Amino acid sequence: MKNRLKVLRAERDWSQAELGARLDVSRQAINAIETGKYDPSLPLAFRIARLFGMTIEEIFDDGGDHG
Amino acid sequence: MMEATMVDQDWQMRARQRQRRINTVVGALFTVGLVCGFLVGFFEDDEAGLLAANSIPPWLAISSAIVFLIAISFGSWKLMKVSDEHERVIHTKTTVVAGNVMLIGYPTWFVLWKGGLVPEPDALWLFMAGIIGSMIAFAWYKLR
Repeated sequence: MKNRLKVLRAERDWSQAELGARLDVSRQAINAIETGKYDPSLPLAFRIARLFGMTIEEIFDDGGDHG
Repeated sequence: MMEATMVDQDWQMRARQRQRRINTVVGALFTVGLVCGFLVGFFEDDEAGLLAANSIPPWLAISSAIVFLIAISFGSWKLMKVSDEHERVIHTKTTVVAGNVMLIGYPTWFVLWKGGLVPEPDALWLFMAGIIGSMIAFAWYKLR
């Protein structure tokens, strides 16, 4: 699943470790999400969305047609 | 500026606390294994030979078995509690790999043994194969 996590993190000048600590997950988890190797659970996706003040759909793109 | 510094310290502190919780569990399990291994080595009957039955006192065998049961059950549960969801997925996948190595390894070895091609299946080798399989899987999922 594609996502904008890396861009959003860079905009705030946060490191992966910092974002991980803010979400209470490891740096490796952030790296895995950013590189698309791991899709976060729904609760974590909500935490990410809340942290950036966005909706889940604005951050994550499953490639599906939402029309 | 001061607020930014405090936030900065806060996330670093939380990251350290998180890592410390994991290290404590892993360290405790490692220590338990080390102490049990030392005691088994210390009380093992040298005459009986390596990995022979009846080579350690019954009290040590029973106490080691109880310690392993409690430490591994409680340790696994605790490790899952302190890990994040990504680590939990990796732990689950590596456990599945270890289980599959043993579940596939035993019948394969068994039929080869029935055919007279290999020695009788050995539980220790199967266990070691499972551990090695889980270590390779852990490295793969963690480092890829």
